[in-house]
Amino acid sequence: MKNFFLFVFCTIVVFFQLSIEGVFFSLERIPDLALALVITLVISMGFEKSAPWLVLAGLLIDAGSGTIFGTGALAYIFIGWAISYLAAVADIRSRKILFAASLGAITVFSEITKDLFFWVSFRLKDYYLHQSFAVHANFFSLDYFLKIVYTVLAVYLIYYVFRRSSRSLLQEPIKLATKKRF
Amino acid sequence: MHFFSRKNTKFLLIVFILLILVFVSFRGADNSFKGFVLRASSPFLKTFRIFSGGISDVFGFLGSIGDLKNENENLIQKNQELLAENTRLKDIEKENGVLRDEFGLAPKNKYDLEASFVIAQDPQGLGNYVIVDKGNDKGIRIGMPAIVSKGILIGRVSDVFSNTAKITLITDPASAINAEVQDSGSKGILNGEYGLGIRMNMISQAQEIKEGDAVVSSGLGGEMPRGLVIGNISRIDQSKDKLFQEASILPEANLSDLRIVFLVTKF
Repeated sequence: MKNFFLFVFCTIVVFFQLSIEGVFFSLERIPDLALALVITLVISMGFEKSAPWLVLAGLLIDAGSGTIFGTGALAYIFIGWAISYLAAVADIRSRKILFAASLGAITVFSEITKDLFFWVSFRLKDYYLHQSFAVHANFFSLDYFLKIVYTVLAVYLIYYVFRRSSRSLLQEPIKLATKKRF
Repeated sequence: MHFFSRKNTKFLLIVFILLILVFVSFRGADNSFKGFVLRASSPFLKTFRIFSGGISDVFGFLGSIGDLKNENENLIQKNQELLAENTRLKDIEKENGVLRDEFGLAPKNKYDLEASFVIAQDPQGLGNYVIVDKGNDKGIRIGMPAIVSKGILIGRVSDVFSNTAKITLITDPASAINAEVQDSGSKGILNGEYGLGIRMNMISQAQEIKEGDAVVSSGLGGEMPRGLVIGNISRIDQSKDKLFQEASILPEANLSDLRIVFLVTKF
């Protein structure tokens, strides 16, 4: 039941990003819901339990991206692994404002790291296979700033929805990762 | 802390497997993997997209004044169709004259179209493309032009999978299209400027162009039909070396709200 819930949750979030967001946001400002999902899962369940779902989310995103298949999953696994080492998150989870602030900071760094990763992947594909799409990676534009802001808001929303729905749909909520696991 | 903890070992194992996957993709299986995943997920993506279109319409409706919204949409669509028709007729008239004079050949003015739903867009916002629900199974091939409203060019097929295809929009910097200014016949190359802008380069200094002029595909190279509407000139500049003119083009189609597009399979 728990795995089925996680599978449905992950696919819905990624399908939202692939299919629906483009209707409401301009292309260059699309919030990264898959990254929000990665952050939510790793902070809620720890790296080990969430790893298969990070790979699933990454591969689904890769299918719709211009990058080489597998690089998105690789990026999410790296980000998830790095986040899991931030013991501070576990320490301050009980303090709401500090937790919200650290969640925002994690999202900003993760988003930039991920986009750099994708940018390198695009460039490699372009260089070796000559079949990449042109990539816009202006990290100092209003569009990029808004993309990050929307992604931060998406992290809050997805974290909240995930915690609430896991409590109500499952017999017991998905156990929070302990400090030890971080 | 021991480096080879359970978590790190699992991490390294997954990274190793994914690196193999990336390597295999890199060696030519990229399209097969993507095609497989898109084939499995395209019905869901399509449903999501249609559903979101409905929600978007509801929000749009609430944000406007009832029937005026629909009327406005109809008028815009009609206007686009008339503009496309008008542009094509002008072009056909010109082509007719030239051919009558020189060869006496009948112009081509009919395309075979394949209607398709837009089911997804670039999830990372780093490129400028959309994914549609028609692919190899419907005879879609790389390079086919994609249009809306009976003749307004939006892009070209850049990747084809079993039942989906990727269309690179004309606003993508990688997109290069042979175009001409309709009134003066000035030829140039269109490149996307990320976002909603397009730039027409390599226009000869000897040609006279002005703001508001319509720009259409020139058909040079034979990759797409002549006379597909692209947009209007919004600004004229000089190239850096002052050898050519350059023009900013405002696209005719609303590229941020594409739902149904037509792929030109034969022209």
